This record gives sequence, C-alpha cells and structure tokens, in this order.
Amino acid sequence: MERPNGENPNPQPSWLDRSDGVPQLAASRHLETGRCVFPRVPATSPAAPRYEPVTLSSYARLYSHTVIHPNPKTGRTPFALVYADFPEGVRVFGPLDLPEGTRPVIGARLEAVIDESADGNPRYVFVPAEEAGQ
Amino acid sequence: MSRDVFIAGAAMTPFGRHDTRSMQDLAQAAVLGALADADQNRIQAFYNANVYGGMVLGQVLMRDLGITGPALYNVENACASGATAVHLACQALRLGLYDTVLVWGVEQLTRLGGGTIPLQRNDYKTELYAAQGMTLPTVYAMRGSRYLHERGETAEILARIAVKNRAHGARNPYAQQRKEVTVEEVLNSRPVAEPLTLLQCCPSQVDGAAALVLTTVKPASARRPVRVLGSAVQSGHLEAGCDDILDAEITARTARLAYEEAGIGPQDVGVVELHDAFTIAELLYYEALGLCGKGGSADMLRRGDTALGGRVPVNPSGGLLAKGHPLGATGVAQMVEITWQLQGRAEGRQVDGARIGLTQCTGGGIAGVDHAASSVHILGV
Repeated sequence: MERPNGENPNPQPSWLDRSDGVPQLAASRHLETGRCVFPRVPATSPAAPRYEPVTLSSYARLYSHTVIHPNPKTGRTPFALVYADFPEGVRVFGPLDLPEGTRPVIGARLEAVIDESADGNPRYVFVPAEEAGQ
Repeated sequence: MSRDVFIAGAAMTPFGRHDTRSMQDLAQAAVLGALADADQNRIQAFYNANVYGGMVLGQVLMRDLGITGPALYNVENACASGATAVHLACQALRLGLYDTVLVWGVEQLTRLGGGTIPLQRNDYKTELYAAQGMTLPTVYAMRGSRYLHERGETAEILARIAVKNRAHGARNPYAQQRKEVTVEEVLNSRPVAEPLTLLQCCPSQVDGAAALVLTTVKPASARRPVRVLGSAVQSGHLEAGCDDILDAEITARTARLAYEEAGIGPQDVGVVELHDAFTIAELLYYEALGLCGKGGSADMLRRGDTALGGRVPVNPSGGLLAKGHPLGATGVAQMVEITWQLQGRAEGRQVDGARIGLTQCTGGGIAGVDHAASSVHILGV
C-alpha cells in the first residue's frame, strides 16, 4: 500500500526485474557513456533519468573468486563468493553454490538463480552451468 | 602564493592493544610528543582524524590539555582520514590561513569487539553486496585470485610480502606484531579469504595515535628539515562495466598528481610507506605508484628491491601488516615514519641515504568504486 505521499514503504529491490513475469537481475545503462551498473539505479533517485533499465541474461562468466573461511568460533562452513561478468557488460558480486568437493574456476560459465521462496526476501546466487552447446 | 610546508614535529604511540588507556590518553600522548619534538606550542589550528570515535571527537580528546579555542577540524575519510587531514592542513598553510597547525589521527579498534571492519551501510549497492557477503578482505581476496591467475603466480608471492613486512616490523618498537615469519608459516596460518591467510591480513584489534606539527616557518632545529613536496587526495571513479581489478586506478591517479606537484618521478623516491592492509595490495601499489612497470611487481619483490637494503625499501616500519592499522591514525603514522627515516631517526630499521619518501593510503570500501579515497604525500629533505 502506498503512503499518502505516494511512496511505497516496501519497494521491490532495485536488483530484481519481474517485468517479463520471470525474476531476473536488473541493471542500468548510462545513456551517455553506454556503461552498465548493477544493481539498477533506484527509480526514486534523481539520477535515474540518466540511465535506461537493462535486464541481465541468466548466464555469466566467473571473473574472480574467493572462498571465505569464517572464524572457527562461529561454526560456519566455508563458502565461495565470485565476481561474474555478464554479456551486457556489467560485473555482479554474489555467492556461488558449488557441489561438494569442487572449487571455483576463473572463466567458468555460471547461471544466476533467483530464490524468492525463502522468507519473502528474494536473493540471488550463482551456480555452475554447462557450456552452451554441450 | 604557495608557501613551503615543513614538518616541525612528529610523534606516535606504539600501535597495539591499549586496554588500560582511553582514546584521550592515546591522542594526548601523540600530540604532546609532537609538540615536544617541534619544541614549540604556538599552534593556530588543529585537525583530528578518526573513523569510529563519534561526533566532535577532536574537542573531546583535547579538552583536558586545555587545547580549546582555535579552529579544530574533525576529518573522516575511512582509512585515508589521517592523510586527508594532513592534506587539508597543507592547503590551509599554503594559502596563508595559518603559519603552524597540528594534525593527529587516533583510533581504538579494540573497543569495537573484533572481527572484520564493517563496510559503511548508507548506500543501497553496498547494502546489497554486504548482505551477499562482501567485506574488505573479500574485496582484496578477489584481487588476489585474479592476480595469481593473470600473472601465473602462486600464493607464495603473496606470502613473501608478509614475510618482508613482518621482518621489518620486528625491528620497530612501535609495531604491534614484532615476530618474523617464514613463507611456510604465512601459507599455513588460518585461511581467511582465499588466497589470503591470517598472516596476510593486518590485525583488526589495534589502537594507536600519531601526530605532526606542520608549519611554514623553517624549523631551526639541528635536524634536517623535512618538507612536504607533494600532497594529493582523490576519490574513486564509478566502476561501470567490467573493469580490470588489478588496475589501482585511483592510486595511480593520485600518485601522478603528487609527483607532478613535487616535480619528481617514481625513480627519485628512496623509501615508501604504503597501504598494505592485505598482502595483495602492496603488489598492486608497486605498479600504481610507478615503482615498477605494469606486470613487474612480483619480480620487484623477488629481487629484494623493496626490502630494507634494497633499491627502494617499502614499509620499513612493518606497514599495516605488522605495525598495525588503527584507521584514523594510519596516514599520519606513515608520515611520522617517513619523517624519522629522512632525518636518520628510524633506529633499527633505518634506510640509508633516502632523501625523498612517499606515503600512500587508500580509504573505504564502497561497492561500485575503486576505493572511496586515496592519498599520496611526498616528503623530502
């Protein structure tokens, strides 16, 4: 429900695009330079008119990675984080879910998966993808 | 008309855990030390650098010393806060607003409870990336992985930075960690963010303060007067598209401005204190500062060029890795170290014959820019 001033108190995250009915990552392209930024510049920003919306593909390439080892006191297990480069010319940071026993590889093909089921808070994660044509 | 700026006094507290000393105690000790070193107390303005201390901190810190009345500026620019405060002080001195000012930086990270320094969270993009797992070690680890991939190196080259700087720190009584380590010890220390291990990260539990008296009046002491030859601060460009994360553009740009102002080039620099918060950073900054060509950092390290006794020793104090990194104090402490080096006062870790020294500090992780701030200062005798 909108507030009296027209603002939506629970806006959709600016990184999420549902315009085609399927959730996808949302970016912006600067109208003058043509360069892309992620996440999408919020529509409420005075800078928004300088950009056009871009919906990212589902697939990207792993540009760089790390595996985080939480302090042993936390009891948390290691997890992978990556920079993924999209064909639209933008880099996205996020977690990479890997099958047990495998490691991230620079240049690997990744798929961006958006999970809207958890607790009402959507999140995105990368997973390994087979090379196109395989 | 521009005027020469001299460093008349320099002092710092040892960096480390100061459980029984307050932030006031630390800042006042550094300030009194710098005033005694300068042998004067006719200060016309004060600059306090700090990140996590809160509002009007400088006035709080100096109240009990009776340092009240004149202008006191509180400066925050993340890890570059101290260097930014010096930069602003130099501007005011060169414009003739003041003849003599005092700059200090202070931080007490042990009161934050430990762990990784949090990213600032007042931005939708940083908020998103922080929720996805981004921390400062993550940012540097990403650079580390890409560096090893592109340059065909192994993690040993990163470990060598820790070995060098911790060997330097072992000679510095102001350093927090004074134990020499081997490559094997570095690589076998607890993994934090691959390829970075614990001994490749600056300690996050550290307190300390550093202070400088800056003046346009040439110091009369018998010591060689140290001049500020160049002072530059820049902010990061928007990282759009798919930029090269091994190109420390903001630091290269800031260094170019500082070299230009000083009228020198990288080949003239004899000693450097740079922002080695994580080992990979030092390798990237060799290239950004022009100490070697693009792609030359690993060989430069392997040749021993940047170790004490080498062509251009880097981080003779032990750097952030060994000396410690109390954020607001770091940039000022780097200039304290270079002042002592140029005046032959760096006992135990003295670089022979250096007449020009450079300090470099980067500040702040904001998603979408190559660091929030960078500062380069060039000092000379």
